[in-house]
Amino acid sequence: MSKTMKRVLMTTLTAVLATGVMAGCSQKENPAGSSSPSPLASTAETKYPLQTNAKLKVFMGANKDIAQLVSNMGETPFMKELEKRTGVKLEFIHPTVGAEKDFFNTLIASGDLPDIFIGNMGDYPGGASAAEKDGVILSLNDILPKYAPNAWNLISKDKEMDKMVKTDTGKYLMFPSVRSELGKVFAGPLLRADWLKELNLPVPETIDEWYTVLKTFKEKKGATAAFGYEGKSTPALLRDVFLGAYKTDYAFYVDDKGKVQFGAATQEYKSFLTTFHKWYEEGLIDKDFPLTDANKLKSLIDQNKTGAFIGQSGGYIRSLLDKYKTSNPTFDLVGAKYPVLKKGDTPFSGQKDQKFNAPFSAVITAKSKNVEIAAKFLDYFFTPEGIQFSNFGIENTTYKLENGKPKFTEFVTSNPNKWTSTQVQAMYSSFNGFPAVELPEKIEQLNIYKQQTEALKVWAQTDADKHAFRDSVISHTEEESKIVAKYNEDVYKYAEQMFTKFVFGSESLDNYQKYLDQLKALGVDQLIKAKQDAYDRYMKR
Amino acid sequence: MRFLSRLAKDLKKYRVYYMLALPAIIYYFIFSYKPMYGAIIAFKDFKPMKGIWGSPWVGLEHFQTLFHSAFFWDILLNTLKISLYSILFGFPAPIILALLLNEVRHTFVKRTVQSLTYIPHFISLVVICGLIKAFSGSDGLINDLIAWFGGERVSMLLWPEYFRTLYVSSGIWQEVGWGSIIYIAALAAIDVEQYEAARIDGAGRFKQLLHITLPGIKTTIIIMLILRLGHVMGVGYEKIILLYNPNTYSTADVISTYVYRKGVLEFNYSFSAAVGIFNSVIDFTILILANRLAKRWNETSLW
Repeated sequence: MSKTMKRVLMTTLTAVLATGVMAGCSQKENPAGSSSPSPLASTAETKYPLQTNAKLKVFMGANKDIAQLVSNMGETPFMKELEKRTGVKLEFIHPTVGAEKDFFNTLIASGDLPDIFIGNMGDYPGGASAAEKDGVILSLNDILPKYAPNAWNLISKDKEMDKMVKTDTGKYLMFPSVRSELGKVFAGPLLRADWLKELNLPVPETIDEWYTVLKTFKEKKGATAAFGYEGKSTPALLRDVFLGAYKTDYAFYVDDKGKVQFGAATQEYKSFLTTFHKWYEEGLIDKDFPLTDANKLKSLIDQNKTGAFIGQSGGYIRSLLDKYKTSNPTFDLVGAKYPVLKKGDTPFSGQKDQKFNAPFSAVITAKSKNVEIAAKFLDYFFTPEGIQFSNFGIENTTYKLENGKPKFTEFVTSNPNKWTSTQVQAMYSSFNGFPAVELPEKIEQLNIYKQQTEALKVWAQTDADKHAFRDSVISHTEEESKIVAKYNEDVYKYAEQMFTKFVFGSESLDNYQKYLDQLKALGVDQLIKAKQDAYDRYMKR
Repeated sequence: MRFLSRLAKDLKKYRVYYMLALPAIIYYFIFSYKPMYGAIIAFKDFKPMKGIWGSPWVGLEHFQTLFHSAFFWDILLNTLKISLYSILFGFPAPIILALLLNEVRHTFVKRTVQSLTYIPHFISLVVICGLIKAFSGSDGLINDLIAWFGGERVSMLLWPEYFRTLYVSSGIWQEVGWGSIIYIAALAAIDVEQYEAARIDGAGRFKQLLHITLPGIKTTIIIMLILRLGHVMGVGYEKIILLYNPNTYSTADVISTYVYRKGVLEFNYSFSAAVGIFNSVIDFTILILANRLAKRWNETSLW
């Protein structure tokens, strides 16, 4: 009993306790932390390995795919080799998988910062520029040209990149992780190709065709959840896929006139809900979708209860095809175009990341005592050798040179330890770790099935670039941050709640106007205004 | 002044005893009293890098944000309802189990039942919630039973009307064995002669339960109840976050989950602290009231 009691008591006082810890730490803090690096000798070409005894503390999310293989990212062959090549000792701090955001926030609040921070600074209230102003991270304006010529070269020569990385006031704060053109699109709608063939159905393009396909799957193949999706882990994905047909998107997006909109507060969204409610009523959608996570969805696929879903080219197409290669060789998948209303239309939105890969970008914190070393270390990922290493891993283990070009070995393509391709990558490359300049050759070689290549091709055909609202590149002023802090949670909570209610039919769509009014009362207009202002400043950079 | 001089004398006289108490005093000072100082960020716009004193004062702004939130009444009522149901059904459960076990004469059976019932307490909450999901899903054990009796399958975690029942009943399953330990200990302290005397007077087992066993553990029960009432507002967020979804927000979202989303995920530490104070004040009041009532009616109390 006493343990229960303690736990409950602790929860009650969590806030109070936590702040106490913070108090302890912030008192220790030394106000004299110099933020500008000491003016050292001019930049000679950096020689790796660096001659240093410094140990860099790195905050980085643990890769969930290899959590069973290593307990610390420092134990992966990639990181060990990295330490050898750069000459820098690393110490990793990891959050629990799935709790990255809480951990990041508490770490910042504790004031006990590492040297390097890898994560999306857009999560910080007000974005990276606010973090710099609050004294959490360093401005790299002097540091980049001096100690990190390769990274600086990449940023300053690429206008688009430059705009995404710098702040409204022209400060450079990050070592960006860079996606290749081929790596920007990786998820979209998928269907059981073998079923389509058997039932003599074309790959659906319009919403009406989707309806026919799902209905046939249900009736002819006994798919009780003809359309399945991970409503628990990625609710936004579903809307990303189907909302485009109705010329809108979920949450914030930019319309054709350059105006920021909140998708779930538009009239177009109502048409989407109407369709989805109908599909749900007719039993075409997994009826437990708000509880479905990746494991559950995969078990639905295994039981042939789902014939259409949303997934990634690696995590779904490749891993499912691998899985059924021997046990069910007829099993086949096909990537469908993002649905539209009229045949031939270009989908309004869809999954497409930007070149600047925010979650894996690195910043140097204001507390670091090894700024020069940290900058030189991070610059390694932008050197030709570093790029090859972070993409392809270790020569003769994961790749061999063929005509001077790296080629993945069998160790990667069919791993002897039965690791999945994502696991091999996480162990032997800077996949989901340090900032990397992604090479298109890598993606090409990893897509071993033609289904993957074809799916990526059709998924890329959207207007997502024009309409996506990139939260990770804009920065909010203090005023705007306050508005976001005040209204964001309530607006999202209400919209999420009403989405399921409208789809389930426990709230009638006749009340849609009331729903819009309530969103207004919760402050959606103020939020849109704040986002619009930040977006306009971004466009002016 | 007289107090201080008396204290000095006392300290000198009972030096050793005070030394023995010192670790406990230090513990409470460091972990319970010192952190209270951090509570002032509830009245500030807290910025970690500026520290507590460097952050600007904002007065009662965070409290106003809480009270004016469109969801304030919902989450407050949800918190109270979940907490009160937990007390109503969850508090008597370990007592009943202890009383039942007390009547079992077979030591092996008694031990086995006891061990089995407190195992769930030691399982990680994440696993527990996984089990709850598996059992209550539309193809889970509970629905198999319902279907076997001719009922209709329903995915219980999906619908708001089942949430509290699931939460409270799974809580009982989780903690009943562990909670009963203290009552079993109290039962062991009852004088066996009393039972013998009662039997000679012709009391059956039920009468013995009513007139000897229950009065024997009454004090423990009352103290445990007062302590439990002291954190009515403290419904934990972990289990709810693991179990809820947007469709069950209307019954499942409580103050602590709201604070987790708004405070921790969106970086409003000051707001979280304000809510923490609000909760503590209410809990404190309830605790005092409960203690006073217990004292008046039963002459048993915490202090």
